[in-house]
Amino acid sequence: MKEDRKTVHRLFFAWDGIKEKNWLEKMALEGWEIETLELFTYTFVKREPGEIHYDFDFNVISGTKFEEYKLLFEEMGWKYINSIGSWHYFKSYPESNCSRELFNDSKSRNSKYKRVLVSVLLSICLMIPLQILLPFLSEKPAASTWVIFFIAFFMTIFLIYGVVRMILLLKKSGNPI
Amino acid sequence: MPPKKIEKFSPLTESTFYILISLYEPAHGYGIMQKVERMSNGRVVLGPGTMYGALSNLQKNMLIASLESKPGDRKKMYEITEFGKELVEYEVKRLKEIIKNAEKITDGSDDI
Repeated sequence: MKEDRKTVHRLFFAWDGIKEKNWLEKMALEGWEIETLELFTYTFVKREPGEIHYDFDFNVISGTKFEEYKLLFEEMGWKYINSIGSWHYFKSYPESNCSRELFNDSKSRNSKYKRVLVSVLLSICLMIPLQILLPFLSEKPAASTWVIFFIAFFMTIFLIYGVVRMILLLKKSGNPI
Repeated sequence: MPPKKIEKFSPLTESTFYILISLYEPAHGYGIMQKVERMSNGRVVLGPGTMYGALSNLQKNMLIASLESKPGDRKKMYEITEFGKELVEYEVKRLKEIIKNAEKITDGSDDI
Protein backbone atom coordinates (compact mmCIF):
# COMPACT_ATOMS: atom_id res chain seq x y z
CA MET A 1 0.00 0.00 0.00
CA LYS A 2 1.29 3.42 -0.90
CA GLU A 3 1.74 5.94 1.87
CA ASP A 4 -0.54 8.97 1.62
CA ARG A 5 1.64 11.10 3.85
CA LYS A 6 5.35 11.75 3.98
CA THR A 7 7.79 13.79 6.00
CA VAL A 8 10.85 15.40 4.47
CA HIS A 9 13.66 17.04 6.40
CA ARG A 10 15.20 20.00 4.61
CA LEU A 11 16.76 23.24 5.65
CA PHE A 12 16.32 26.51 3.81
CA PHE A 13 17.71 29.84 4.93
CA ALA A 14 15.88 33.14 4.77
CA TRP A 15 17.84 34.14 1.65
CA ASP A 16 16.87 30.88 -0.09
CA GLY A 17 13.16 31.69 -0.09
CA ILE A 18 12.88 31.27 -3.85
CA LYS A 19 14.49 27.82 -3.71
CA GLU A 20 12.07 26.77 -0.99
CA LYS A 21 9.09 28.09 -2.93
CA ASN A 22 10.19 26.34 -6.14
CA TRP A 23 10.74 23.07 -4.30
CA LEU A 24 7.29 23.15 -2.69
CA GLU A 25 5.68 23.98 -6.05
CA LYS A 26 7.55 21.10 -7.71
CA MET A 27 6.31 18.75 -4.98
CA ALA A 28 2.72 19.88 -5.72
CA LEU A 29 3.20 19.07 -9.41
CA GLU A 30 4.35 15.61 -8.34
CA GLY A 31 1.22 15.20 -6.22
CA TRP A 32 2.39 16.21 -2.75
CA GLU A 33 0.72 19.07 -0.96
CA ILE A 34 2.15 20.63 2.20
CA GLU A 35 0.15 19.88 5.31
CA THR A 36 2.32 21.39 8.03
CA LEU A 37 5.71 23.04 8.20
CA GLU A 38 8.09 22.98 11.09
CA LEU A 39 11.72 23.90 11.31
CA PHE A 40 13.60 21.42 9.05
CA THR A 41 10.43 19.33 8.74
CA TYR A 42 7.88 19.37 5.93
CA THR A 43 4.84 17.08 6.06
CA PHE A 44 3.10 16.40 2.75
CA VAL A 45 -0.19 14.69 1.93
CA LYS A 46 -0.91 12.91 -1.35
CA ARG A 47 -3.16 14.75 -3.76
CA GLU A 48 -3.89 15.01 -7.47
CA PRO A 49 -0.75 16.38 -9.14
CA GLY A 50 -1.36 20.02 -9.94
CA GLU A 51 -0.38 23.61 -9.57
CA ILE A 52 -0.21 25.17 -6.10
CA HIS A 53 1.42 28.51 -5.42
CA TYR A 54 3.37 28.99 -2.21
CA ASP A 55 4.74 32.16 -0.70
CA PHE A 56 5.83 33.38 2.71
CA ASP A 57 5.96 36.66 4.54
CA PHE A 58 8.05 37.80 7.47
CA ASN A 59 6.24 39.95 9.98
CA VAL A 60 6.64 40.29 13.73
CA ILE A 61 2.99 40.47 14.61
CA SER A 62 0.64 38.89 17.17
CA GLY A 63 -2.81 38.95 18.76
CA THR A 64 -5.71 40.74 17.05
CA LYS A 65 -3.31 42.30 14.55
CA PHE A 66 -2.27 38.83 13.43
CA GLU A 67 -5.90 37.69 13.13
CA GLU A 68 -6.68 40.71 10.94
CA TYR A 69 -3.55 40.04 8.90
CA LYS A 70 -4.51 36.39 8.23
CA LEU A 71 -8.08 37.41 7.44
CA LEU A 72 -6.90 39.88 4.78
CA PHE A 73 -4.68 37.24 3.16
CA GLU A 74 -7.52 34.67 3.13
CA GLU A 75 -9.94 37.27 1.80
CA MET A 76 -7.53 37.87 -1.08
CA GLY A 77 -7.28 34.18 -1.97
CA TRP A 78 -4.20 33.08 0.01
CA LYS A 79 -4.78 30.27 2.50
CA TYR A 80 -2.76 30.41 5.68
CA ILE A 81 -0.78 27.19 6.34
CA ASN A 82 1.14 27.91 9.53
CA SER A 83 4.00 29.97 10.93
CA ILE A 84 7.54 29.24 11.96
CA GLY A 85 8.44 32.07 14.29
CA SER A 86 7.65 35.27 12.43
CA TRP A 87 7.62 33.49 9.04
CA HIS A 88 4.07 33.00 7.84
CA TYR A 89 3.39 30.45 5.11
CA PHE A 90 0.55 30.76 2.61
CA LYS A 91 -0.71 28.84 -0.41
CA SER A 92 -3.11 29.53 -3.24
CA TYR A 93 -4.57 27.56 -6.12
CA PRO A 94 -4.76 28.71 -9.74
CA GLU A 95 -8.55 28.82 -9.47
CA SER A 96 -8.42 31.14 -6.41
CA ASN A 97 -8.25 34.09 -8.81
CA CYS A 98 -5.58 35.96 -6.86
CA SER A 99 -2.12 37.45 -7.25
CA ARG A 100 0.68 35.10 -8.32
CA GLU A 101 2.80 36.18 -5.31
CA LEU A 102 2.19 37.84 -1.95
CA PHE A 103 3.91 40.99 -3.19
CA ASN A 104 3.13 42.53 -6.54
CA ASP A 105 5.81 45.22 -6.59
CA SER A 106 9.50 45.43 -5.76
CA LYS A 107 9.04 48.12 -3.14
CA SER A 108 6.79 46.03 -0.91
CA ARG A 109 8.87 42.89 -1.55
CA ASN A 110 11.96 44.81 -0.47
CA SER A 111 10.22 45.98 2.69
CA LYS A 112 9.81 42.30 3.61
CA TYR A 113 13.56 41.71 3.10
CA LYS A 114 14.23 44.79 5.22
CA ARG A 115 12.10 43.42 8.05
CA VAL A 116 14.14 40.21 7.95
CA LEU A 117 17.35 42.21 7.89
CA VAL A 118 16.36 44.25 10.94
CA SER A 119 15.59 41.15 12.97
CA VAL A 120 18.88 39.48 11.96
CA LEU A 121 20.77 42.63 12.95
CA LEU A 122 18.92 42.61 16.27
CA SER A 123 20.00 39.02 16.92
CA ILE A 124 23.60 40.02 16.26
CA CYS A 125 23.26 42.86 18.75
CA LEU A 126 22.05 40.35 21.33
CA MET A 127 24.83 37.85 20.53
CA ILE A 128 27.78 40.20 20.84
CA PRO A 129 27.25 41.29 24.47
CA LEU A 130 26.72 37.64 25.36
CA GLN A 131 30.16 36.81 24.02
CA ILE A 132 31.83 39.73 25.70
CA LEU A 133 30.21 39.03 29.08
CA LEU A 134 30.41 35.23 29.15
CA PRO A 135 34.13 34.82 29.97
CA PHE A 136 33.72 37.27 32.86
CA LEU A 137 30.71 35.61 34.43
CA SER A 138 32.77 33.12 36.39
CA GLU A 139 36.22 33.79 37.76
CA LYS A 140 37.65 30.65 36.23
CA PRO A 141 35.69 29.98 33.09
CA ALA A 142 34.61 26.35 32.91
CA ALA A 143 34.91 24.35 29.71
CA SER A 144 31.15 24.65 29.17
CA THR A 145 31.41 28.44 29.24
CA TRP A 146 33.88 28.26 26.38
CA VAL A 147 31.63 25.91 24.44
CA ILE A 148 28.78 28.41 24.72
CA PHE A 149 31.19 31.19 23.80
CA PHE A 150 32.27 29.44 20.60
CA ILE A 151 28.70 28.52 19.67
CA ALA A 152 27.72 32.18 20.10
CA PHE A 153 30.78 33.24 18.12
CA PHE A 154 29.98 31.00 15.15
CA MET A 155 26.30 31.98 15.32
CA THR A 156 27.38 35.62 15.02
CA ILE A 157 29.60 34.86 12.03
CA PHE A 158 26.72 32.97 10.45
CA LEU A 159 24.28 35.83 11.12
CA ILE A 160 26.71 38.30 9.56
CA TYR A 161 26.83 36.03 6.51
CA GLY A 162 23.02 36.13 6.57
CA VAL A 163 23.07 39.92 6.56
CA VAL A 164 25.31 39.95 3.48
CA ARG A 165 23.03 37.49 1.67
CA MET A 166 19.94 39.53 2.54
CA ILE A 167 21.58 42.72 1.27
CA LEU A 168 22.49 40.97 -1.99
CA LEU A 169 18.88 39.81 -2.28
CA LEU A 170 17.68 43.38 -1.80
CA LYS A 171 20.04 44.57 -4.51
CA LYS A 172 18.96 41.85 -6.92
CA SER A 173 15.27 42.44 -6.36
CA GLY A 174 15.67 45.84 -7.96
CA ASN A 175 14.61 49.21 -6.73
CA PRO A 176 12.00 51.41 -8.32
CA ILE A 177 14.06 53.76 -10.48
CA MET B 1 -0.21 64.20 16.06
CA PRO B 2 -0.42 66.75 13.25
CA PRO B 3 -0.33 65.18 9.78
CA LYS B 4 2.94 65.44 7.88
CA LYS B 5 3.35 67.60 4.80
CA ILE B 6 1.62 66.09 1.79
CA GLU B 7 4.80 66.22 -0.36
CA LYS B 8 6.44 63.76 2.02
CA PHE B 9 4.27 60.95 0.65
CA SER B 10 4.97 61.73 -2.99
CA PRO B 11 5.58 59.90 -5.28
CA LEU B 12 3.25 57.07 -4.38
CA THR B 13 3.88 53.65 -5.86
CA GLU B 14 1.41 52.44 -8.43
CA SER B 15 -0.08 49.92 -5.97
CA THR B 16 -0.51 52.45 -3.19
CA PHE B 17 -1.97 55.05 -5.54
CA TYR B 18 -4.52 52.59 -6.87
CA ILE B 19 -5.46 51.47 -3.34
CA LEU B 20 -5.90 55.09 -2.28
CA ILE B 21 -8.19 56.04 -5.16
CA SER B 22 -10.24 52.86 -4.69
CA LEU B 23 -11.16 54.14 -1.26
CA TYR B 24 -13.21 57.17 -2.32
CA GLU B 25 -15.95 54.67 -1.55
CA PRO B 26 -15.57 52.42 1.52
CA ALA B 27 -14.17 48.99 0.69
CA HIS B 28 -12.44 46.03 2.29
CA GLY B 29 -9.32 44.20 1.07
CA TYR B 30 -10.94 41.98 -1.53
CA GLY B 31 -13.13 44.82 -2.81
CA ILE B 32 -10.07 47.03 -3.31
CA MET B 33 -8.25 44.25 -5.13
CA GLN B 34 -11.16 43.70 -7.54
CA LYS B 35 -11.61 47.40 -8.18
CA VAL B 36 -7.92 47.91 -8.96
CA GLU B 37 -7.85 44.90 -11.26
CA ARG B 38 -10.88 46.28 -13.13
CA MET B 39 -9.50 49.83 -13.39
CA SER B 40 -6.17 48.60 -14.75
CA ASN B 41 -7.78 46.08 -17.13
CA GLY B 42 -6.21 43.21 -15.26
CA ARG B 43 -2.69 44.63 -15.29
CA VAL B 44 -2.38 45.31 -11.56
CA VAL B 45 -3.31 42.34 -9.37
CA LEU B 46 -2.57 43.30 -5.79
CA GLY B 47 -0.97 40.72 -3.52
CA PRO B 48 -2.08 40.55 0.12
CA GLY B 49 1.44 41.33 1.38
CA THR B 50 1.56 44.52 -0.66
CA MET B 51 -2.02 45.36 0.37
CA TYR B 52 -1.37 44.81 4.08
CA GLY B 53 1.72 47.03 4.05
CA ALA B 54 0.00 49.78 2.08
CA LEU B 55 -3.15 49.79 4.22
CA SER B 56 -1.10 49.90 7.45
CA ASN B 57 1.06 52.74 6.18
CA LEU B 58 -1.84 54.75 4.78
CA GLN B 59 -3.77 54.34 8.01
CA LYS B 60 -0.79 55.19 10.18
CA ASN B 61 -0.36 58.43 8.26
CA MET B 62 -4.08 59.22 8.44
CA LEU B 63 -4.52 59.11 4.67
CA ILE B 64 -7.24 56.48 5.10
CA ALA B 65 -9.35 55.48 8.10
CA SER B 66 -10.91 52.18 9.07
CA LEU B 67 -14.65 52.19 9.55
CA GLU B 68 -16.67 50.61 12.35
CA SER B 69 -17.39 47.15 11.04
CA LYS B 70 -20.92 45.81 11.10
CA PRO B 71 -21.61 43.25 13.83
CA GLY B 72 -20.74 39.77 12.62
CA ASP B 73 -18.49 41.09 9.86
CA ARG B 74 -14.86 40.48 10.67
CA LYS B 75 -13.55 42.12 7.50
CA LYS B 76 -12.15 45.59 7.98
CA MET B 77 -13.53 48.41 5.83
CA TYR B 78 -11.49 51.44 4.90
CA GLU B 79 -12.20 54.88 3.48
CA ILE B 80 -10.03 57.75 2.26
CA THR B 81 -9.70 60.81 4.54
CA GLU B 82 -9.71 64.48 3.52
CA PHE B 83 -5.94 64.44 3.94
CA GLY B 84 -5.77 61.42 1.63
CA LYS B 85 -7.82 63.27 -0.99
CA GLU B 86 -5.40 66.17 -0.77
CA LEU B 87 -2.57 63.76 -1.56
CA VAL B 88 -4.43 62.33 -4.55
CA GLU B 89 -4.97 65.85 -5.93
CA TYR B 90 -1.30 66.66 -5.43
CA GLU B 91 -0.25 63.48 -7.24
CA VAL B 92 -2.68 64.01 -10.13
CA LYS B 93 -1.26 67.49 -10.69
CA ARG B 94 2.29 66.16 -10.59
CA LEU B 95 1.57 63.27 -12.95
CA LYS B 96 -0.32 65.51 -15.40
CA GLU B 97 2.74 67.72 -15.65
CA ILE B 98 4.94 64.71 -16.39
CA ILE B 99 2.53 63.36 -19.02
CA LYS B 100 2.19 66.76 -20.66
CA ASN B 101 5.95 67.10 -20.96
CA ALA B 102 6.48 63.51 -22.09
CA GLU B 103 3.85 63.90 -24.81
CA LYS B 104 5.36 67.17 -25.99
CA ILE B 105 8.70 65.47 -26.43
CA THR B 106 7.48 62.23 -27.97
CA ASP B 107 5.16 64.13 -30.37
CA GLY B 108 8.12 66.13 -31.59
CA SER B 109 6.48 69.42 -30.71
CA ASP B 110 9.13 70.02 -28.12
CA ASP B 111 9.52 73.71 -27.46
CA ILE B 112 10.95 73.55 -23.95
